[in-house]
Amino acid sequence: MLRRIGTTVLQEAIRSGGLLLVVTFGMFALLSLAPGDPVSMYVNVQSLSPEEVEAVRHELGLDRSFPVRYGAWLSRIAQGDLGTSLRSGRPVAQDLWETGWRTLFLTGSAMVLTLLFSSVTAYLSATERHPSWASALTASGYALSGVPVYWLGYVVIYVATTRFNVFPVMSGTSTSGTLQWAMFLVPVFVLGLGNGTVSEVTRHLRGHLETVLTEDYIRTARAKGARLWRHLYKDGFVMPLSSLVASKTPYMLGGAVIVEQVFNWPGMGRLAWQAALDRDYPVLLGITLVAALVIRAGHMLKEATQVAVNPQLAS
Amino acid sequence: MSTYVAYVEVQSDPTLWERIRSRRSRKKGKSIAAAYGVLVAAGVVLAYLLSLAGWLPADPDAMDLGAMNQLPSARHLLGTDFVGRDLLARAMVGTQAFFLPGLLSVGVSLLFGTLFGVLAGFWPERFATPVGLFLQLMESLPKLVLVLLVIALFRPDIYLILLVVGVTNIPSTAELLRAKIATLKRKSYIEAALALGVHPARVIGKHILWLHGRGVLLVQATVGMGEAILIETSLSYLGFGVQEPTPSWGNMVALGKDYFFRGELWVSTAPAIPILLTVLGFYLPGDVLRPIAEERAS
Repeated sequence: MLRRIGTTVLQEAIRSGGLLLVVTFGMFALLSLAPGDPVSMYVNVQSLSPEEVEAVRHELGLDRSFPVRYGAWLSRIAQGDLGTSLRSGRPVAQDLWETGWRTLFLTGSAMVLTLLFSSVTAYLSATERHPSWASALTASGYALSGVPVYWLGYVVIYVATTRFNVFPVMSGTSTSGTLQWAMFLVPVFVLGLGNGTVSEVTRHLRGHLETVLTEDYIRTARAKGARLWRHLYKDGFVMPLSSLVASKTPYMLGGAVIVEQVFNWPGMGRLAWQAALDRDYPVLLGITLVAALVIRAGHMLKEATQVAVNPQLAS
Repeated sequence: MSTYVAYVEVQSDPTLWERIRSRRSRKKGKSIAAAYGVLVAAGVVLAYLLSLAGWLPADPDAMDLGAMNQLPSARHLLGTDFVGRDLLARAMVGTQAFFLPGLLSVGVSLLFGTLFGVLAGFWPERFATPVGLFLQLMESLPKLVLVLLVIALFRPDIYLILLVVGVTNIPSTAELLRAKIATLKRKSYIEAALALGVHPARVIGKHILWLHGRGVLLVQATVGMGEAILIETSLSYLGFGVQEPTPSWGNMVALGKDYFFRGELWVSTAPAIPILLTVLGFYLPGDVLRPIAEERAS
């Protein structure tokens, strides 16, 4: 069992490594297509003589051929050096380390909320035990998936400030107050419900549950009076949920850019927004790479879970 | 000799299984969703054409400092913004922000998605691996982050941005078609047509793409348009897409922000409503039609 999982994880790691290599290549190609002399990234071209600029260019290896430059860039990345931010001059890796865990927390909790909402809705509507609840939840899921997430954020901020007299914005400094400690939950709530995937996730889960519920083993389980849940959770929930986590992570990370901007959440999404504003592309390259890494990790988790549940899937 | 069989009918509450099998209400929901989608698409096209022709309820750029932040009234059907511009007129002009770029995005993803899908479906040994790799590559990157990277590098306009989004949608279209063709290829009538010497182009064009693929392509088109609208409005909200004073639904929401927190909720809400209605209008039919389209494939 453990060996099967290990093999699967290894296979997935190799595939992810290959894909990440292609990602870095694509990013480097984009970088070299971008207008502007890359040497101006490092020195002030106006204040130096052309000879001095040439010397810097040579020193940085910018006068070499494309594959050589790519190789040098890649080896620096492999050593954890993602360059320095054009705006702050700080190492990109350090910025990402400081903001990354906040975004991981935000998107991770939001994902849990999305899956929780969708699972309840899908279960209720697949079993049709509480039809009115099921249709109410399905309808609100559809409405939520069309609501612009920033507007939902405004509404929540407005309600919190006027009704509960608290301001749900993360400021670096900690504040006192009765409800202030719970304020980090507000962006999680907004991203979890407003990321636009709720209805699709629900539909996917419901379809899966409906198929599983008509299986013979479920009928047998019911006939002998066993708990439905015990026979349902593996095929009905664990399998689809693990693949949904993998496939919806990119949407969560994209949604985090907007939600973090609305709530001033000091995470990677806000950093991406600021970097795009400043054309700070070393930072954005780093964020893209980290995002790709996180998404591939999600795929690895999915493969491992599915092989653990159904060893037949191991190849 | 005769056999007697006695039927005993037991009247009881419908069991779980009977309820699962009767899904009549869901069929009704499907036609409602499709009708709503058609309505929304027609509304967007109408608003776009009217705004192009200049037949607007008011001048979208005319300020009226005597009528700021107004709620809907007979004079301003959707109210006014913080400098007294008519929100309905601006919302109608706002369709221009995504209409043609969105069509470009959808067109690119359908055209190249079809091309690669057909190649990978018909000649899997040669093309399936590259298409699959491209798909996994695109699935490994969040679209919004990729778009922000492109924005930082090239400062593109909204056409180029949505073109990039269209390119990222190529592999999912290709994969859907590939899967469909892979099952169709095993059907005897396709084999027969090919064996009888019907030109492959005709088999692909008529029997596969037209008779079986149009559902998938239609779903991809509607979902792609919904996504284009979502991305355009989000980017314009963030300040990267369409810039003030050119209206976009996204930057209209952003402009109302300060007033929203002071309790004048309408200025941001008025443009949020068309976003909600159109995104749902493009996603809903795709959402309910997709299972049908995929079912017919298998």
